[in-house]
Amino acid sequence: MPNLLQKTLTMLIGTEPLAKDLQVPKTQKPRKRPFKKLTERELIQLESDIGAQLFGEIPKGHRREFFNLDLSTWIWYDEWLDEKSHRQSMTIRYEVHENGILKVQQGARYNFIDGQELENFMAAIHLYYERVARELYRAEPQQQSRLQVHTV
Amino acid sequence: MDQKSDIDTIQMGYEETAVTSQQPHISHTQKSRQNEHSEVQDALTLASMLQQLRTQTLSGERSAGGDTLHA
Repeated sequence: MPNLLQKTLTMLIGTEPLAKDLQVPKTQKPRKRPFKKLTERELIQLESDIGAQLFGEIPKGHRREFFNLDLSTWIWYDEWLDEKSHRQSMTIRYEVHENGILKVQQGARYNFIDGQELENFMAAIHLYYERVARELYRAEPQQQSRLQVHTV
Repeated sequence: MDQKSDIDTIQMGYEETAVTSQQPHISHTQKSRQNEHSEVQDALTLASMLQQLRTQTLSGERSAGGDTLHA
């Protein structure tokens, strides 16, 4: 678990030291370097920029990320300044397990999602894949049979 | 009382019961588990396809965003 959290934080914040006299955001968008390959972290950052748009307009002052970390993990991250200008953040991890999608929140809160939340999550990751494939990788999304919306 | 007719009725009752019991009974919880299982597979498949796109991009088989050239 600590390794996964470390990996997540590395993806979100990065490991390169920031110059103190530079005002740069915590996660840097890759600069245009025509002759340099992108790193996996940079690719995920680009994917996350698309993922953040899937849930509607981002409230002013918020920074949102949504991305696929690995085969079984999806990350939702939200960061904002509260009324006292203190930086607040929320990270939700969605883990794909054999018996369902486990939602892991801060404070060791775990629960398998179901119902509308599960439907929303599945819709989000489908849309994520389609938009990322088209907009970032210039690839046509592979045909996949979507799940029928099931009613309880 | 016609015993024969009573026997026929009883047999019909048993037959109906037998037919009903032979039919597979899928409970609500089983259907729910089946749906969850397919959603799990769906999520894994999507992640796998994303991983494939990333790998191809990192290896230079594919460019991303149009800002980089092949190595």
